[in-house]
Amino acid sequence: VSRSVPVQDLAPLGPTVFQILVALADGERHGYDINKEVSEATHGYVRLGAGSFYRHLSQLCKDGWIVQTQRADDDAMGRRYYRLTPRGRRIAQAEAARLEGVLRTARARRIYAT
Amino acid sequence: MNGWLRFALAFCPREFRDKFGSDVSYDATRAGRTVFAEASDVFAAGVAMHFEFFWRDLTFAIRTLAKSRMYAVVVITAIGLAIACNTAVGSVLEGIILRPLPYPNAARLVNIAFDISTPEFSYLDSRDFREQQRTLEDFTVRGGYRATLSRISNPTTIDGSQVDEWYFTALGAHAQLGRLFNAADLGKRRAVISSAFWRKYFDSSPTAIGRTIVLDDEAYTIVGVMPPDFRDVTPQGLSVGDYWIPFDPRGHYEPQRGIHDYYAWGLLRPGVSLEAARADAGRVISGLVHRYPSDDEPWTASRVSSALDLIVGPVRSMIWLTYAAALVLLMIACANVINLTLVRAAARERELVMRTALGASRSRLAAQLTTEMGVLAVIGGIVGVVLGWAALRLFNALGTQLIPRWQDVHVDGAVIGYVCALLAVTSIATGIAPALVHRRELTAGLKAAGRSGDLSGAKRMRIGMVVVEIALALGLVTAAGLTVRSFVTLTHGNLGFDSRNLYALQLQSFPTAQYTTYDAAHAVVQRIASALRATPGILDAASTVSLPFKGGFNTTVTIPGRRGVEEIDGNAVDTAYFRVMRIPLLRGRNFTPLDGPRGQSVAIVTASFARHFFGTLDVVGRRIAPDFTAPNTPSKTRTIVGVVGDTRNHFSLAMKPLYYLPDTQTEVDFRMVVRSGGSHFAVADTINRVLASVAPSLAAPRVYSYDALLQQDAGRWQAAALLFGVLAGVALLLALAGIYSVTAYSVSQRTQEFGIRKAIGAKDGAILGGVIADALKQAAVGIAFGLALAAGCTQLLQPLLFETSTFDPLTYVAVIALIAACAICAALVPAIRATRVQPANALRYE
Repeated sequence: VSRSVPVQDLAPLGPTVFQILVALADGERHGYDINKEVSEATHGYVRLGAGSFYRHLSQLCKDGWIVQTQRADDDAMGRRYYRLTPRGRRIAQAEAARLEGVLRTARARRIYAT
Repeated sequence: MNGWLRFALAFCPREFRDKFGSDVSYDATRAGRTVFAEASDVFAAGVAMHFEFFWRDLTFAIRTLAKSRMYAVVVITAIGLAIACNTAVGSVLEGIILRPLPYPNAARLVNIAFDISTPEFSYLDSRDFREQQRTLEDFTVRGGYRATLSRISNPTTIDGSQVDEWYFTALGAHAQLGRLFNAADLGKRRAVISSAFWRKYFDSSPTAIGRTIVLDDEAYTIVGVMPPDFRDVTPQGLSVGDYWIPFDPRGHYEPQRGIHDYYAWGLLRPGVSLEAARADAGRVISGLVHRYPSDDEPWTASRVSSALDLIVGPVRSMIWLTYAAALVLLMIACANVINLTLVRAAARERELVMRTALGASRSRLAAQLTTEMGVLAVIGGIVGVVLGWAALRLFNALGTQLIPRWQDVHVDGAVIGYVCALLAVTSIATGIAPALVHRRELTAGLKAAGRSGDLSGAKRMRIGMVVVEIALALGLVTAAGLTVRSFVTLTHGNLGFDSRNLYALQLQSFPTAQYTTYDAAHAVVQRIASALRATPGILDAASTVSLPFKGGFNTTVTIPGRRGVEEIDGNAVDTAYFRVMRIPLLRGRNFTPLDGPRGQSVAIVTASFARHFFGTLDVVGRRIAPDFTAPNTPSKTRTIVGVVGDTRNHFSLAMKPLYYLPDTQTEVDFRMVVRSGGSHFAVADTINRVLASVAPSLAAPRVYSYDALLQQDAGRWQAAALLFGVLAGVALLLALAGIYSVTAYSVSQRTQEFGIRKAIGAKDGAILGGVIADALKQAAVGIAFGLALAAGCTQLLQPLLFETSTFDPLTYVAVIALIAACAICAALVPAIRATRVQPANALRYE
């Protein structure tokens, strides 16, 4: 069902989902790594327990925004790795563009200056 | 790994666990937080995912059901009807049998019967019993009291109680206002009034305490008001009275040990068994009987029974049986729903097989089917509870007054909870059964998915369900048939008197100031009778002590020159009674005005009395000695002057021997029977007008029509017949739907076969006959099982049946014919459809 929805219509994304997608921008990572990255990138603002984190991951897999890669056996610890799908990347890009637009407006109105 | 974490993971949906389980547990143990916090987070995630699945199943289920509306409607109807019956019957069971009586120590409340034939105590015996017994914590006696209320209203007859000083404490009751009785109140003119009475006559004003009410021309000072929910306990049920007054040890009846008029109630000491209380009561009462032989003889045996058992005993078996019938009905509905679901699942075969192939786990598939069923069950349940509630309201209008505690029957929280549990079981059973079939048949389904095939497992299960439905329906219909037949036997029996256009009235409490002697009262009753006879529209009137169907006058009879005492009901009537009742005189003569206080002591007996004691109808001139309180009679030994026909005193009772005395030779209270010229005639108003002109100080009597009275007496049997009738009707309807759906489906599956057969020249009749024969074969198996079931189970019905055998052949033949006819009707529509198959279309089908 979600496949037919244009990426623009999915905005705004939840902060957690957006951060997970951003964390995967550089390439594939395993779950623990993603979670740590999300926590660090948000300065601890988004901090998830393993249960909630994998629940989000499971939903993202189901929606086809990310995929599990077949690297589990390559990893010494038997971890599973994930990467963005092209659609997932487009969604993250659309969200980032939307956020930029929000920031631009905020600057123009002088509510936020950097 | 931490146990809580392992549990939390196990709780998560399987799909999630398989994919992410190892990562979750790895990360959770490495995270900076405590393992407990991590585990709780996993658990919360599990709950959220389960809810998401449920929500998805729910929306999916509603979408799919919206597409097959016919199926949804039939399933909702089946469940709704079954739940309606279960709601109604469950409420009855809960309100009457399972709920304790409304007293704090209800479980320990017992009734003490002095003697089996005279369960009531006399006042003096009750005082002695209380002192001598050792097993009861508290003991009290209460008598019904009917009086004429005057001064604050027009003379009105109101019902209340006469109680001793322990009555309210034994029942654990407290006053809403003022105080209750203590020992100092005995013999004083004091009253406690009900909340309703207080509201009606004193506007719920606290100043009512200390004011007076006038009962039978005596002023009583109000000392207390009872709370609105207080009920009096009587052997017939809980009653609502208007007032309570204390016994008067110097009153008219209280000092007479022989007047057994009060029911006794006790509170068992904690830990004391009924047997111990029985033994103790037996000891005390046999002591009393030996000490006062003239007052307390004859003594058979005392009895101590739990108050609830005593009250609901007469209807207990009927209610449990109806409850069982309602559960059977639910089983039929389940079988029906499983059946319909299987038929529908066969049509959805490809969808389900496809989804399995795409990786939907069996448990997910079962969860989805169960959710569909759950949606239907919830809607069916709501429909059912509303219907059940309405059915109870409808039942209120029918003869339920005779069912004890009927006023306690409500659809309440407990019933709703019970219905929810039933619905949960129903939806799981009906959702899982089809899923199980699919599980077994998965590979076969994949093979057959290319063409529409019928899976043998599903087919066997469908036919099995139809057989079960027919068998259970036959059992219920047989039960209904037997109760209806019993009811017909009961109400079409000969009563011994003519009940058409017959009315009865109870003249209450002659004000003692005005009617000082019995003769004065008797004279005014005769004046009323002649005034009634002279009234247009009224044919005749007579006076009597007891009325058929309103209880008899319990006495004992001895025959001079013979040993032994027998309990026989007596009645005292005037000379017009037999004429008014149209009771035939078989031998001898009627009473005459000469049979007065100074005449010869006479009696008239019924035919069964004559046969019972003398073996012949020719008993005129023989002598009997009935024990009838009769200060007016010259001699206790009476000469029989006539023999009359028997009358029935209750539908359920055989015609029992009875004797009559002239009411001029007794001293009793009065009732009257009046025969009117037509039924559409305001008899009660006319009678009250005549009474008011002849005896203005008398309270307006209650006038009963005999039609209504008979209706009331038949009420309990009518209720049983009606209940079983309704349950059986619903069962039959469901079985009909079951046969129809199976036959219709099988016909649609065999379209190709019928097409080919028609193409090679088969006659319509042969195809029609074949389809109906198949349905009849299933019905025959169901009937065979059902007969075995009915033969076994209808034994339980025996207590509800009146002169009807549980093997009544007529009922069985009728039921079998009915079921077979239903099977044919249900198969007829699909069978006709089979004959309309066009060979060309049939071949194009595949």
